[in-house]
Amino acid sequence: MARVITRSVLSLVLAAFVGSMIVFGLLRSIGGNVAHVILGQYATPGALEALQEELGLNAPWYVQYFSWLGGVFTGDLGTSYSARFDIFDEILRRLGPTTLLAFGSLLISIPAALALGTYSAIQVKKLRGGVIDVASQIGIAIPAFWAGLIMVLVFGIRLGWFPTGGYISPFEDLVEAVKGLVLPTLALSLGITSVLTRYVRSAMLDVMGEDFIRTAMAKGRTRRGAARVHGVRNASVSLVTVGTLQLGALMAGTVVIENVFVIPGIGRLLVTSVLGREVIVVQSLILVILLMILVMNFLMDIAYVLIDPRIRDSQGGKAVA
Amino acid sequence: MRHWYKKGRLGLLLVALALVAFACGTDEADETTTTAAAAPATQATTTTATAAPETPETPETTSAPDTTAAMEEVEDPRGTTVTWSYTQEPPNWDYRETGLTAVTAPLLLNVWETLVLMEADGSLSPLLAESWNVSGDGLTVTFNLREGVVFHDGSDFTSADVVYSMNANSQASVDRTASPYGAVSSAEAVDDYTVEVTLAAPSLTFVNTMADRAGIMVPENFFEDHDAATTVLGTGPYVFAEYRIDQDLTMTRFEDYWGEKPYFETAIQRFIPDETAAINALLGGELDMVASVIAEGMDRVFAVSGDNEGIELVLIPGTEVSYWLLDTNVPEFQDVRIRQAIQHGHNRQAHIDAATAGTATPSCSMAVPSGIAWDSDYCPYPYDPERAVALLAEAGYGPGELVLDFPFANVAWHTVMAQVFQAEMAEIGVTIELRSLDLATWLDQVNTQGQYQIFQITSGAPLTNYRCDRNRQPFGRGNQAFCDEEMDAMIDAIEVIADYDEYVAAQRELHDYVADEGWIFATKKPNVPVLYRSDLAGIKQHRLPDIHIYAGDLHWADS
Repeated sequence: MARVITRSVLSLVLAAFVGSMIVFGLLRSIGGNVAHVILGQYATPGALEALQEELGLNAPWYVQYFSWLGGVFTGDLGTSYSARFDIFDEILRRLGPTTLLAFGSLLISIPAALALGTYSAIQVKKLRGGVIDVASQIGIAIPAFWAGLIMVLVFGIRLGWFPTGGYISPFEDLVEAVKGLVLPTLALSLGITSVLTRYVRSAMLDVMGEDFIRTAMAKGRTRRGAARVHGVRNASVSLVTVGTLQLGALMAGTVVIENVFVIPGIGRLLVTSVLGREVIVVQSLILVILLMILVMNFLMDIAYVLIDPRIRDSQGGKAVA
Repeated sequence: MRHWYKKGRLGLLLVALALVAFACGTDEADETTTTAAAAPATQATTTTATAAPETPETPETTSAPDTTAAMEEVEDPRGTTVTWSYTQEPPNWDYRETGLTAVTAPLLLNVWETLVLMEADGSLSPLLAESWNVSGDGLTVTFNLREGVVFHDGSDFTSADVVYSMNANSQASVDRTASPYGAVSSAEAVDDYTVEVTLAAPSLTFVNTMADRAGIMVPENFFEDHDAATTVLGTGPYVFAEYRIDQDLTMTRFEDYWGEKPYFETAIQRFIPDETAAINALLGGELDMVASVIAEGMDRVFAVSGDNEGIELVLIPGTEVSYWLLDTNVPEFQDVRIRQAIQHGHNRQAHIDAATAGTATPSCSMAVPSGIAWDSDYCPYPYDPERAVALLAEAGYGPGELVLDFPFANVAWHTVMAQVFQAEMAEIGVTIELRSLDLATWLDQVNTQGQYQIFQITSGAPLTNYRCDRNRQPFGRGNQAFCDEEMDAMIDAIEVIADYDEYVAAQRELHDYVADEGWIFATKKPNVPVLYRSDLAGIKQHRLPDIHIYAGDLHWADS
């Protein structure tokens, strides 16, 4: 287990390093820098040159890059060029909304997918199962931003149940914070729930053909009882696998949803920083996003162990008698 | 028992996930927010409010309530906070460094005040200067300052602050803040409330520029004592209270303001780049006003105000012009017939309909704001595609033989205008190759380096800024070596004219000359759609070269 975790941490650190270099190179190659953005269209060449010098943008690329990298190792991500915020503090502040959104979405998607996928598998030959099947296909096809806009129109504007956007910290006003997160979380969950539902359904259909289910039914379990007691747990292993693969999509989804719902999270900071050519902010964000995926991967690894004793045993756990 | 425990662990994991997520949400936004320098605690300074400056016409007839009434309206269920949205967020708040309109849009006149105020018709009113006097030879301008004005840090506003601000502004990186001081030899304090500015040559525009960024007044030593990127101090009716990056800017009423105090205790500008989201927030009752619609929301403005009771639309006359610039290096453009043909193929109304839902005003004149004394309907090359094709043929170009590179910034209405332009040029046989760029790349490649053959911008810059040595496309900037010497001579003459009528005539001549030459040609003067809840009154016209949102006169109707 420790070896697996060490390996995944090292590979992610390497990915973060390579990723930040690629981002640095891309942002430099597409033209325009933060001095152009600050000074705008009336900038004189002299003013541009002076500001670039002041911000250190005239230094060779490797000096700029390794100066940032050195800061990373000492815990100092630096200060943004234009707004002058401390990058570490700002990212920390943005983690709150994004984490709530991402984990909230997973908390909805995983149980919902388990329930819907299992039900759909049990009811595979009935209309009810078919409805869930079709609904999950539609859910995959609907883009998150469109789902978000429709939800805003219906639940935010027509019914007035939830705010149309913005973010309130749970420590300012818990009720308003939860109300504000309902629509973005649901919009983000829709696609992931649909994908996971289809995987659970498929896994459950496989599991339901296994010998141990037949044995359980022979011992008197109903089909539904056998599925609930023996099937779900087995199908969950593939759910965790697919869930892990969906983490990247989840983070990409938060970027879109944060912009639709005007939530000041990591995703919105990433977009504004790319447009504003805040290179070191973008590099730092890529690092943080990779770390977030690492943490979620780690939690998924733990979930594997909890769900499937065979994995635990193979990694040195107690053998089940 | 063991079975129950095993089951419970998955639940525990989920609960732990929830707790982690919840804990991460604890970071209070305030920790990285920017606050203004401390407002005066016990204000010993006498702040006898003198008469407020004349205010320009508003699109509404409702007049602002008096302060006493405002104080009594605390019980108004609609509250004492006004919230609006604006699409752009500035990189920082240093007006000397940041060129974007987003800096001045919420702060100019609300937090910062200028020496003079420009009315919607271009005329000037007193603001921090109660009066001013230009000497007979046009070389000395004397500003008599308003007494009893205090900055938000509690310090008195005196001539020392004016001299300091003028010197500081003259050193600005932003050309618009610094360039008016090019004509200034010295600025001296005659006494505490009188400042004398000596000009190297007579200038009828110098006092006008004191209504814009160049005229912003800050306390003495402000730039040495504060980080101007994060701290804002002025004398306006609102104090810069709190800025939360990517969220909002909160301004609070300045109780020691020298003029009439605003009705709303708090004015909040939310930064919502997506106009669909902003309009939805207005419909959902979370905003009182969407301060300017310039992009994807344009198509919805009439529907939103027409279909929703309680939502109104007002079109604020713009202070900018959208225009096209031709690369002076392109050999084909050296033939004036080609330049004329492009304009004859250009359907201004089609652009206005497609890009601004018909809300802009077509214009061939570069004069801004609309209606300024030298504005005119002179249009030497109106839409006439047949004439365009004939001119191209005369110049030796058949269909598809002229191919032009057109890079555009994919913000606001520029994408739509690019597509319309491509289609209309195709009709006259000119091929336009579109290049969609994000703003930063566009600023670098097009604006700075001059990598274009034709491009389009919207700006409130006067034509006099296009003198060859002023580094503006398409003359003398980037790879553009060409200088229109006749135009430069006209600009030089204009800048030393002391007589107003003569000045207007010279400006008209310059604008007509530029229209004839066709290196730069105008399309439209955008009117800015503002959507607001119908019980909000006191929305002002824009009076400066940029959009700005003046909160000082806003109040609830019937309050």
